[in-house]
Amino acid sequence: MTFYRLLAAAAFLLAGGALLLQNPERNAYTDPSSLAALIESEQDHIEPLDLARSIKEGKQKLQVIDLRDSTEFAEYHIPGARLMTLTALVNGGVRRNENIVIYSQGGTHAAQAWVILKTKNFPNVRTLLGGMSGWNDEILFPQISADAPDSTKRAFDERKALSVFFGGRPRTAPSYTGHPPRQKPPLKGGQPPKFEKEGDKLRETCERYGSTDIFSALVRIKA
Amino acid sequence: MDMNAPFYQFGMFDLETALAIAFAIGIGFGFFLEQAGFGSAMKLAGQFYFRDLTVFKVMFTAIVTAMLGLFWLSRLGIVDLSLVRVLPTYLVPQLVGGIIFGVGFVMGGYCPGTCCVAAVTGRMDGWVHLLGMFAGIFVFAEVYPMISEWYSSTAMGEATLSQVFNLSPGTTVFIVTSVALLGFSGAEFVEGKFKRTKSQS
Repeated sequence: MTFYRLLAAAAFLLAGGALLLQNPERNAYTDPSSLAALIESEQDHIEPLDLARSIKEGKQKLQVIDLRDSTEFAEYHIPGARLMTLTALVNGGVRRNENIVIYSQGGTHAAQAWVILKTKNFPNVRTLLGGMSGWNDEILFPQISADAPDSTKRAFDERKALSVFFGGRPRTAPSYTGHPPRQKPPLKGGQPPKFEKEGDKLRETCERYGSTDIFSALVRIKA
Repeated sequence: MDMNAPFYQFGMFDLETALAIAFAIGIGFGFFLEQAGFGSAMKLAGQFYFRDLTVFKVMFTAIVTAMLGLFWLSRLGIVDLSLVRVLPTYLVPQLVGGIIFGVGFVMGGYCPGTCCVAAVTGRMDGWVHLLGMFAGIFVFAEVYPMISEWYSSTAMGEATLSQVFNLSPGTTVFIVTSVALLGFSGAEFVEGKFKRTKSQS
C-alpha cells in the first residue's frame, strides 16, 4: 500500500509540475548558423536525378510536395506528389518524421518553405534543385549532343529510361551551335507529351536540318 | 539523418522484422494482461458489480502514465508530440460503438485483447468470445457500405481534451491526474464496501 501511495504522490508531483509549466514543448529556437551550414554543405536540396532514381526504385518513402497552382499541377506533376499551398504545408500539412521533398516552378517558394519548416524543427526536408524547371531539363527532356563521346552516350541511357518512365522525351541535340535550346513541348498529367501538329513539323524540320534555330526552321516550313 | 520513428518508414528494418517485433510486443502485452488476472472473465466482469475495480484502475493508470510520460518526455526534448498519432474523433458513431462494446464487455466478460489472452490460456469462454468478435467483424464489413456515411459523421478531427475544453496541456494533465487519483481512492472505498456487503449477505 505504501508503494502505491508513493507512486500516487509521484504522479501528483509530476502533474503539479505540468500545471506550472503549462506547455509540453519548450520554445523552439533554430540556430541560423546551423541552417546556413546545411545550405553550404548542400544538404538542403536533392538533385532531380537523385529524386527520379529514388521514386523509380521506390525504396524510400518520400513525401513529395508540389507548391505550384492547381492548373500547373493538373498539366504535369512528379508522380506521387501532393498539391499543397505554402500555408497548408507549414500548418500541419506534413509530419515531422516524413522524408519531405518540396518543389515549386523555379525553386524560390520551395526554398522559402524549406526555411519555414526548418525553423519548425523538421529534420528531413529538402527542395528539388531547380524546381519543376530543373525536373523538365534534367529528367523529362534530357539532351545529349549528337557528337557526344560513346561513354557519355552510354551514361545517357539511364537518363533516357528515366525520361520515358516519368512521361518525358529524351532529346538528341546537334553539335553545339550557340543557339538556345528549342522550346519544350507541353505536358499533360504525367503522360508522354503529345505534340501539336505545328510543333511536330517544327521538330522534324529542326532535326532534318540539324538546327535548333526555331526561326530558320519556320522559314523552311513556309518555304 | 536524425533519429526518427517509425523505424520501418525510414528503412531501418524491413517488413519481416517489423512483423517479428510486433509479434514480440504482442506476446509481452498478452503475458502481462494474463499476469494482471485479465484472462479471467470473473475478474473483468467484477467491475460492473463494483466488487473488483482492477480494470478501471489499470486503464486509468495507463492513461495517467502515458500522459505524464509524454508531457515530460516532450518537455525534455526526447519525444516529438507532433508525431504522436491522435485517432480522429467521430462523436456519435464512436458513442454508439462504445455502447455496443460496453454491452459486449458486460455480457461476455472480455474485451478484444483479454479474450485473446483467455483463449490462449485454454478458457472456453475466451474462444466463444473470440468467435463472436470475428463474427462481428464480418457483419460489420458486410454492412459497412450501408453505414459508411454515418460512420464518418460528426467528425471532430484529431481532437484532444485540451483543445475541446480550451485548456492548456499542463492544466489538462493536472485535472486528469487529480481525477484519476481521486478515482483510485474512491475505487478502493467502493470495493471495500461491496466486498463487505457480499460477505455479510
